[in-house]
Parts: sequence; structure tokens; C-alpha cells
Amino acid sequence: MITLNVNGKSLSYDGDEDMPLLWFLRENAELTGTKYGCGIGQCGACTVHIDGEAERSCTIPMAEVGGTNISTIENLSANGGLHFVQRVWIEEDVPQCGYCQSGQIMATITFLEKFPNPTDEDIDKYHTNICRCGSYDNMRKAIHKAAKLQAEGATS
Amino acid sequence: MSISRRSFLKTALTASGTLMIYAVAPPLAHAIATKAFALPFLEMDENGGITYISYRSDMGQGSPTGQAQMLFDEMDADWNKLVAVKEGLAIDRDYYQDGLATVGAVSTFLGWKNHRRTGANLREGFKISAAGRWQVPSERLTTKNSVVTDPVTGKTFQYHDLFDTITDVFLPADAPLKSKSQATLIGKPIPQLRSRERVTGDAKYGMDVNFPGLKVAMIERSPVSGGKVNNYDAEDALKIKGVVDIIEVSNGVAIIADGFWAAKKARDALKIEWDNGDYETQSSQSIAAQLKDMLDNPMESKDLTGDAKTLIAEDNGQILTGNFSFPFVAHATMEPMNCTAWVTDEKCEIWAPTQSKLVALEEVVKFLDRNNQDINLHTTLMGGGFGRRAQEDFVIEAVEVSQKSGHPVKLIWTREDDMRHDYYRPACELRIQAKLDDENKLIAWDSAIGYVNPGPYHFIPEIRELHFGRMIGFAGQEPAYKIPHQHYSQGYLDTPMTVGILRGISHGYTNFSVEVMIDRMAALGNRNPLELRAELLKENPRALKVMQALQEINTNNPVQKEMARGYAFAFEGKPGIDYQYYSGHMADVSKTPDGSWKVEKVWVVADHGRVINPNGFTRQIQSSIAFAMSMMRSGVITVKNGVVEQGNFDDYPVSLIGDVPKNVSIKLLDNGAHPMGCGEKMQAGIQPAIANAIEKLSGEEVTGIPIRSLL
Repeated sequence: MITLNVNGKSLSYDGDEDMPLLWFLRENAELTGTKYGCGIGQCGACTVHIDGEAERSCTIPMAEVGGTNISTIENLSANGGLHFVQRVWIEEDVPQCGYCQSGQIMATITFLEKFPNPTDEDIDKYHTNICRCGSYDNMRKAIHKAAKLQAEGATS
Repeated sequence: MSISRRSFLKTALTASGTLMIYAVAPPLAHAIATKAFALPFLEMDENGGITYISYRSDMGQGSPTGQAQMLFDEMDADWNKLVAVKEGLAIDRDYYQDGLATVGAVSTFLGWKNHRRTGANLREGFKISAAGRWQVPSERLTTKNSVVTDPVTGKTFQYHDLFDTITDVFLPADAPLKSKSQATLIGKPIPQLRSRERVTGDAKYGMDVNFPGLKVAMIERSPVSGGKVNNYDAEDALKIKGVVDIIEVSNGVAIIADGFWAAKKARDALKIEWDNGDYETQSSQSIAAQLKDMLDNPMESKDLTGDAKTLIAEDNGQILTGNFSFPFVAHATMEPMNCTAWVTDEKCEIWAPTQSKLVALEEVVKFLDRNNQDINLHTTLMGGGFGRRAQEDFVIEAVEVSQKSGHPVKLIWTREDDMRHDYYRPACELRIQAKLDDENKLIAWDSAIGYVNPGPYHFIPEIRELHFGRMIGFAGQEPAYKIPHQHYSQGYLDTPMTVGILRGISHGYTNFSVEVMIDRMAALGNRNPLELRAELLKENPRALKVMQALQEINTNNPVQKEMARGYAFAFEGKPGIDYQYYSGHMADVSKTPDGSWKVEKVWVVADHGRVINPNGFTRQIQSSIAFAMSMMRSGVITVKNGVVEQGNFDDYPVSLIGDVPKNVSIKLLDNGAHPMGCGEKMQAGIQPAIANAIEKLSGEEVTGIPIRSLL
């Protein structure tokens, strides 16, 4: 039996421990905001926070997540408001199809913790989630804008 | 303005007090719209909140936003009262004006007619209703933001105050349309609708459909295209916990399980013996060789004008020959193919992320041999489309698995399934010979193409057997340039490997080859490439203006040291028809220390007629650049022993944020002509502009894609 904390709720699992966390989140916890895109950790559509770190949940087996704290995209707006990264994503009109954006946003939040004042080069090097719609231009602007809000004290 | 029973609009009040508005249009000569159609267009609640019903698929391209802008603008409706966007259902093809496929930027092109017409008639309807209540002539009333005003008395009615009367009046059929200067929403950079749900995880894509009892299905398909199951052993697979059933289906063997992981594990444990068929002897090389052979031994050929072949054979002037080769290309939509189906003895419910809801529905009707009234097809949001979701294959698969297993199933394709069983952009070979006379004038053009035939897989089943169906494989072969002698030939190869439409269709390779030839010709004759294009387009005023605008930009932005600049022109249609657009492209490329190429800056000048939403238009150009660069650098599908070799983003890498140019400059020449939209249209011009810059930078001839490094 594996127990883990997802978005503040304690959940348990006693199935196949090889199953990637992604499918636990999507099917068992019914949190479908986290997306399946590749299954090999390449695209980042499945990015969630595990103990505060952005991780690609499609390659992390359940065996490795016992006792961890997981936060998914749904957690950001759990109390009705939006996280500041979500807000700038809307303001800069980033989403096209939107399928990758949960992962993009979760990756951006931890990226900004590590690079509070990112250069374009930092973004190029460390923001590696795929967007097939190519919403990158708006996304870059949104990341810079989010960094500014963070510097001004925005926390959520 | 005539008011008659042959009105374009119908209105009805529901029991809950919502006004339903239906658009009605006469039958067309078109084979698939022989009866009049009436479809719900919008709902207005008792507080004036409007739900817009969109019949086009929402895959991120912005169609619902642009269409709602056209409708609300003409209707003089308050944009802030747009409370929801609802998916229109595919019910009966006779109801609709077209096949309802969301392809080729058709949402804007066709939406321009029916959305404005509906909006204008409705606006006049509200005026007539108010005029009746006030007993004044409707001509003197004005409308704005969902309010009718009588300027003489100062009285007003909100649109939703008029529900009772508007259902009683005969609505006008031909209310005047606004001029460009009267527009309030058309042409405004409105953000895309539904962004909030897309950043909170609330947006429901096909992959997210869920309800109690729903199973996950996965199909193991033949690795070799066209292969069939000889026999299979499911003993080990059935032992996997969570597996419900394993059955043979048309495309292979299906696993039905409680969840994705059990289905995938069981599929890995399946043992299948395949009858591979003929295609196992084929490879990318053998296919290319057959296509190349068609350049010398075409199946069809024509002199469009003059006698190009004879001229080219003569021993004078200069002959320029270009050989080009293009591989299969995969769509790799962010959300892999999937579909949910629940077939019972009486009913069939389908939730499909489809670009072609009507075709999908009709093919299900045929497959199940049932009445379409017993089948409901719901279109979900979709994680990208790029043409792939116009095919109905994944819908039929889900229906078949549900019918045969008796379970409601969500059929999920893994990324590998998606990449190995795509409807690829056809592989193709092209050869262009151009002749310049002694004064360096282009006088003859001979273009030969061999392509893998997408006709039999056309996204509209009715035209799969027709010549017209093949057009998506060679469209764009004939340039817009004025050339006195032109000869064209083509050959097409039928394969069991499925090919179809991919963003920009064949223009992505035909126009690529044309435009590389033009830049070469300019270099040969020591001409400015844009001047040369302008000269060849001088009889087409809109195209000429685009080239002139780009020339000006070119002059004002000299190319920087250690970069090279390439140019291209793209188009469809011709003067005199609604369907025409023109774009000019310019790209600056540098060489990276590791010998690769980097696009530093891109300029696009576009005349796609009226621009409905400059914000959406610009985003589609940005999107197209990222898409084009994926394809050029690495987006290559290869075949070995009849099997597609790539399977995921590790061996089919696509553009990341750091790969696309940060510097993109866009000029939209909105001349008021019929709007064309943008979604797929930019692929044809961006790639050759980049390719031409690369050719200049490397000094080596570009021979198609991919271009991985500079020699």
C-alpha cells in the first residue's frame, strides 16, 4: 500500500507499483489537468510538483512516490483564485490548443524559483516543455512578466 | 430589404425563457448540401447572456473566437455578454452548408458569409421588434451593445427585452452588412476565448472524457502498413491485473482494461503473428526511387501554356534544374489520437476530438448500419489537429471496440501509435527545369512530381476515388508567376501507408521547390530576388503589392554580417475569385558554432483579405514558424521493411522555445477582400525563405528537407 499526498489530500494506492504517477493522477485521483503527451519524459505535458520540484510524472513509477507531497495544476486554483503564472498566461494569451499548458505552467513556477530574474538564454536552456502549437513567443513574454510579478512579491 | 417567410433565421423561446436562434440557408448545388439547413446558432438567456454555438472544431487555432467576432459585430451584440461557447452537434449532413470539416482555414473563409449574414439579420430583427412595440419606423432605430435605441424618443430596449416579439416577426433575409469602417469587433485583437479553462486544467479534451464504467482500450496495430493479424496468443496478456477483454478488430488486436497502464502492459504481453503483406519489402529509399522514376515516366502530363519541353530541349539560353526530395512528415499533435464510444443495442454515444464531425458521424452510421438519429457524436476540445484529426479512423476504431466488446471504451493511442500510424504528409520527389532566355528572362518552366497518393485516404470519403482527391498531393505545383511556356507532369504511388493532409498540405513541398528555384534564378541573373518576383507577378495586383511591401522592408533592413537572407512568396487562388491570398516571406539565418543553422529573424507580409483578429492571426504565424522549423530540422518519418522507424519525441524532435526566432516581424495588408484566415496557410512560404537563406549561407544546393546541418 502506497500513501501519498495529492493537493493536500492523503490518498492510497495498492495496484501495480510500476504504473507511472501520471495515470494514478488522471485515472485514480481523477485529476485530468495533468496530460499524457509522450510517456517517456520528453514533452513535459505531465509536469507536476513532487515535494516542490517539477517532475515529469509519466516516467515516475508509483513505487517511488510513497510519502511524497504532490501538487498538480488543479491545486493552483483550488481556492477559486488563479496563481500569478496562470494570470499572466491569460493576460499574454498564451494557450492555443492548451493541451500542454498545465505542464508549461507547473514547469514555469519552479523555473522562476530557480531563476527569479531569467534571461532569454535561461528560458531557452531550461524551459524544455514542448508546445506543438508553437505558443512560445507569447509564453516567453508571460514568463518574463511572471518573473516581474514574483519580484514584486506575488506568491500565488 | 425584404421580409418574407423565406427568412434566413428562425427563433424560438424555450420553456426556461432562453431564446434559441437558428440559421437557415437554402440548398446548394454542392452534392453534400442538397437540402436547406437550419442549425442552432446561438442562445440568448433571459438576462441577455449569449451562448455561441460553434460548428468548427476548437484545436487552438482560434476559430470560435473569430467566428463569434463576425457574428457579434454584425449583430451589434455586447461582447461582454458572451457567456459560453458550445459545440454544435453533428446531426444530419443535410442541415449544413458544407462538410463541416475544420480544415484549410475554412472557418474564416465560410464563416465570413454565414456568421455576418446571421448577425445582420438578427440585428434587424431586434430593430423590427422594437419598432413594433414602439409603433415607429424601424429605419430610424439604432443598435449597439445589445441595445436598440430610438434616437428621437431616447427610449431603449435591451435585446433580451424583445424575446416575446422577435419570435413573432418575420426576420429579414438580406439585412445590410456593415462596411469595414463600421466594424466594432471585426479587426480587433481580442484574446482567444476559453483561456481560463486552459490554464486551470479544467478544459476537457478527448483524452479527459470519463464516466462510471468507462474502460480504456488500446489496439496493437500491424507494424508493417497494411498488415493483417494471422493469429494471436493473449494468454499472458489476460493475466495482467485490470485486463477485461482482448478481441480481434479490423486494425489488429484490442485490449480492454480498467486503465491505461493495464492496457499497455497487456498489449506488451500480447503475442501476435502478422501477415505483413507486400509493404514489408519497402523502405524510404525504395519509395523515393519509385517516385523519382515517375519524374521521367509520368502518369499524367499537360502543356498548361506554350511548349516548354521543346524550348528546354533547344540549345540556347540557360537551363536551371532543381531536384527536390521530401520525406513523410508526421503531425505529432500534442494530444495523441483518442476517442470514446459507447455502443449499445439501441444507441451510440461518441466523444471525439475530431476536425471532421460530420464525416466521422456518417462513417459510423455506415459502419454500424444504423440511423444517424440513434448516434450522438460530441466534439471535444482537442490538443492540436494540423489536419490529422480530419480522418475518421480513430473514431471508427473506438466504435468497433465498443460494439464488439460491449463496453463503453476510451480508445487511447500511445504517442508511438500516433507516430507510427499517422496519415502522414506524403513523401514526394520533384524536379523543376526552368529556362532563361539570353536576356535572363524566365520563358519556360517544366515541373514534374511523384508523390505518395493521398487520394484513397482523402478526409472526405466521397472523393477518395476521384482525381480531385489526389489534388491534396500536388496542389501548388503551378506557380502564380507569369511564364510563357509551362509544362506539368505527375505520377502517384499507392501505398498501404496512410497519407493525408498536414498543415499547408502539398504547398509545403510544391511551393518550397518553386521558391528555391526563383531565388536561384535571381542569383544566376544577378537580380534582386524580390524584384524578380514582382516582375513575374505584375499582372496580379494584390500579389504585387505584397512583394512591393516586402521590398521596402528589405531595403530598410540590411542583412547583418555573417547572416544570409532568403526570400519566398506563397499564394493560393487567383484574381477574380474570393479564395485568394498572398504572402511574402524573408528569413535571416546564421551558422552556429556546431555547424547547424539558426533562424535569427523572420518577416512576413500577408494579404489574406480582411483580418478578423490580428491577435489570432499573428499567433498563427508564430505557430507556423515553430511548426515549419520542426519539419525542416528534424521532422522526418522514415520507413524500413515497411515499418515506420520513429515513435516518439526522442527520435522525432520538434521545436522547443529556444529553437524559434525571437525576432518576428509581421505586416498584415488588410485591403478589405474576403478573409482567408491563416491557420495552415503560412507553411508554404516560411520554409523556402529559410531554405533560401541556408543555401546562400552554405553555398550548397538545398534539396528538400530535412536540413540538419550546413556543410
